[in-house]
Amino acid sequence: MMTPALLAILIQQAPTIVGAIIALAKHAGLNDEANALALVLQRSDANADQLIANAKAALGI
Amino acid sequence: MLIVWVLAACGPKHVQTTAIFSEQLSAAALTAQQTVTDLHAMGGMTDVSYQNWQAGFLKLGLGIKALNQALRDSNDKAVLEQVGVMVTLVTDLVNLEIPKLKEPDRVLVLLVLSSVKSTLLVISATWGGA
Repeated sequence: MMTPALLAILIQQAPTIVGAIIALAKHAGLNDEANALALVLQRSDANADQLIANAKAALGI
Repeated sequence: MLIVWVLAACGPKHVQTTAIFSEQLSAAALTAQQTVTDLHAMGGMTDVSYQNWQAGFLKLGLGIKALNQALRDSNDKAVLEQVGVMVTLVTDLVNLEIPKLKEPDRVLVLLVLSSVKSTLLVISATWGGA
């Protein structure tokens, strides 16, 4: 039986074990959540790559 | 099984929210970089200042990529560390380079940089670091 206190602790600790959660979510069929996260991070990375490329061009490196 | 479902509901959303802010952060940084580039092209800053800004944007881009990797790795300590490094970077740029700009350029750059910095602070708060 899960008590509210235990539930609160688990939720508080969620970020530290989120990788395992995503794996479990995939295993449980929650592929949309995992895929959406990957897409958002890819867009951020693409912007960061552009930022780096612009800066390198400006600095001549 | 209940634990798995509770965490599956909480954890990914937490990371996903931060990932969305990271996307917003990178877009804001690109806008700031373009603003600085435009100001330099119009003669609003020296070449040395321009290079200082671009070196800052280079570090910011690398910081954003490191942040995203920390999110992928679920490394909450690394997330906060990267955000801290980027906040310091932006703060240093503001303190060092903003005073060199003339009005109204100074206000313009402050505005675009405030978007970058506020997004960083929101990520920190979302992740429990504020």
